[in-house]
Amino acid sequence: MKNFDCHEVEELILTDLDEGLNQDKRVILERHLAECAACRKTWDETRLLLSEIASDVPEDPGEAFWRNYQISLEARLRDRENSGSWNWGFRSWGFWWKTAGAFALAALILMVVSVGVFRHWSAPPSMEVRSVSPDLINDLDQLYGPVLAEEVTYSHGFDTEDAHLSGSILVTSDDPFGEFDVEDETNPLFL
Amino acid sequence: MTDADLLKEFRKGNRDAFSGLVERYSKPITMMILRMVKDLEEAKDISQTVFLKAYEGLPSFLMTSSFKTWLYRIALNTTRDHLRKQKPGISAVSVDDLAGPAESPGEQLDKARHLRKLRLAIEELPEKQRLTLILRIYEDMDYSEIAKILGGTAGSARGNFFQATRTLREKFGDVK
Repeated sequence: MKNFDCHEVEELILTDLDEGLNQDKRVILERHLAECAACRKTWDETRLLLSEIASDVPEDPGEAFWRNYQISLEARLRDRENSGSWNWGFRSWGFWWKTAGAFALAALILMVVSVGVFRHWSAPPSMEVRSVSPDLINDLDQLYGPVLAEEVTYSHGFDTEDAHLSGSILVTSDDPFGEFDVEDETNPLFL
Repeated sequence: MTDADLLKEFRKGNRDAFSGLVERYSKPITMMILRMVKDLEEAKDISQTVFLKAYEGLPSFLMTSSFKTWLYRIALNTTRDHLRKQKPGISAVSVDDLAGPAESPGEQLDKARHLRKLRLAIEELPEKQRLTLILRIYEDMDYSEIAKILGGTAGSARGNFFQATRTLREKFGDVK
């Protein structure tokens, strides 16, 4: 274990009397104090000094003083509040919170309206046909085969009972009938 | 209720919350100031000024530090300003007092004279050491709190306290 010199031990003494030492350092200090009269004296003097300082507490002026203290402080606070400009600073908390809230709400409304207007102006023209009836798809399948890969454009729209169709659809392949089974009329199951 | 709770209440407009803070801190703050100015009425006046300043400053107090350290910082600055305004040479504990009635015997008197000398020695310490000693011994603050009030680090506050103790011991003890 390291041997501490008197200067280092003085630090230990101050720490011991101030915050306390851990077990290891306490052992070191006690060992040193057992052998060193000068450090023992330092320890005694420091302990006495700190206890003297701590005991030098001004006398409490008593309850009446503290009551009077509260009353006169209240009066000084009221005077200050009534003086005007200072009062504004205290009240301004609520004011600033409300103002900030109003600004935030206004900014939110402005943002929502702006987004709505922007979307309205920049939206693509609406499609005439939103859905195609299954019957129509069936008819188209009969004519062109099921939809697969190739896009066919109809230059002219046509009407059905359900909708007006225009635009483009996808068909299955180059051979519109390629996907159909050829029915065998010789088959007894053929109706 | 904690200080933070009272501050929140105060900010909601509950004025009584500030009275709660005054009730909590008026005594220790006034007694600390009394130790420095040595006059009860002066200490009361300065202490009330501290609370007026706190009341005024609370709307801008961001609660990044504790209310206690903030209030003590105001108290020490206000007391320091007050002492600076005083005429130099006027001290609550004058050197003449130390001579005392030398002819008066008795242990009690010796003790009183010793205490006066000790107070004077504390007053003569460099400001940071003196204030650190006061906050550490009388206000029972830890070094990080002291550092927040006086500036610097907890380590430097500890160093100031140790140096103050060393200086006083060398003055009063028959050392080495």
